Amino acid sequence: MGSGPADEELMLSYGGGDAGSFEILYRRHRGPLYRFLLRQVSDAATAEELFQDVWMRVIDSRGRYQARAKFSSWVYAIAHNRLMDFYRASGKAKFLDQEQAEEALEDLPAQDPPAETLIDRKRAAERLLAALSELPETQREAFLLQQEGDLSVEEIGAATGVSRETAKSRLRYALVKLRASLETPS
Amino acid sequence: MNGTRDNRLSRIYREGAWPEPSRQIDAAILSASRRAAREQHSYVKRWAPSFAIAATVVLTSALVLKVFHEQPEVVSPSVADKETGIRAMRPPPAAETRAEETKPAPAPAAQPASTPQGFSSTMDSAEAERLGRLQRDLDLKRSLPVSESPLPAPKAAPAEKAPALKKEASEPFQRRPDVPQTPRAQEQPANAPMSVFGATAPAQQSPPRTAAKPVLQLPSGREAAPPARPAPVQPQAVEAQRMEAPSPPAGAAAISGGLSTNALMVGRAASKPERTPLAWIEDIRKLMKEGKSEEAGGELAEFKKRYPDYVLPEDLR
Repeated sequence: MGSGPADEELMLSYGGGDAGSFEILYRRHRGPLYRFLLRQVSDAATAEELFQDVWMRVIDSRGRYQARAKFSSWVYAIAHNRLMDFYRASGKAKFLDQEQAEEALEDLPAQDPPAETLIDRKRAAERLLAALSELPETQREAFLLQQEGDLSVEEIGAATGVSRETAKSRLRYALVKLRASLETPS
Repeated sequence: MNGTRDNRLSRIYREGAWPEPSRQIDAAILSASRRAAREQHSYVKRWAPSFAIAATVVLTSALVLKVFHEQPEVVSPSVADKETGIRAMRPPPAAETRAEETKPAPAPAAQPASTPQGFSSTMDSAEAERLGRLQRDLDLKRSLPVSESPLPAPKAAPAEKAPALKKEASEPFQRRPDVPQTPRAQEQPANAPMSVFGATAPAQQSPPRTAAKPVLQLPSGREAAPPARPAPVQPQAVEAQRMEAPSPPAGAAAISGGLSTNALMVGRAASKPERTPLAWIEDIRKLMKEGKSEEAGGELAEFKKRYPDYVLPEDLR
């Protein structure tokens, strides 16, 4: 996350009344957290609502925060909970039924595609994002927590309330599918 | 690349679009954070004196309670002193008293080391209260002669008097009505020191205190009674219980290791009865859908009041 005081120190300092610490913290995490939400809900207005809500919860929790784990794990855990609430409220119950579908992907190739098959990078990024939006929510979330939140497998498990093995499995399936999307000719 | 990270995918992902939240949202969140920090400061400043007063009151109460609980140990010597005080109420001639004081006393008998603990282990609170009342009565009766006495309080009980005191103290408590008629009563100085709070009394009062133990044991007949002291409450344990009490939500239930606290915090935050802004907005939308526009308007106004910096969604602006 760059140099300067650690996120945890900044949050504790904010809990002690230093508003400047929060600003540093916010600037560090605003982009990744926003993209994490946006990629999940695919709607900027909803993403902004959720984004704002997550930060409001961070602000409200300032007095209770304890630096026993990474700040980012904590923030993304809040974001995960807000997403779950959103899915429930919007009737997107399929979120919870995606685990079975994952089993069908066991045999997909996991190797890197040869360099000559790659189209230009921009196109590849677009295809990757498109494939990402097609992933089951659990897998997409695991991938985004890794990419945007820079969380480890253990931290992904902690943030989403699942075991390390489950988090690892989700992440692996996501990677397999995304690689496959880049190999498939458009 | 390892099993869970694909650098090539990461690179391609980062080459995609990098959308960011709007400046309006940034401003709203930062403004809310500053306001919260300010409120916290003013809250602390506003309540600091009250907290200080409350802490003082609690501390004082705790001290008073502590002294009250220790009173049985303290009352005992005073009772013994008061017995002597009662005897002394029959005003002896001042000259006689002085003569008594100058008499050589026999060497004090060795006191068992455990006796100074007094009655805490042999007396319950009711008994202590009864003795307290008795002591107060005696104080009242004794106050006049003491104040009128020209003699200063003796710095230390004469060594020769200790056995006599002990012997007297070991006599049955029921004999007190007859006490003034015993000749030994005249041996006691009229202004024998008396203190309810013996714990803070000077050291010279300790011999009567130790001697008084049998006096109180006899009427009670509860020598073997266990001390009726409440178990001390450990504040750390209470705090630990408080911290452990809330259960994490389903989403965070499986979190283990160092992250469990975070999960708990998240769970606690999630299980707060207060509506989240998002939930509130959803409720307002529901009201609008149900045609309750007036109610929705009221809710919206309240929402704006509660979250002035919150950027409302398009449909509610």
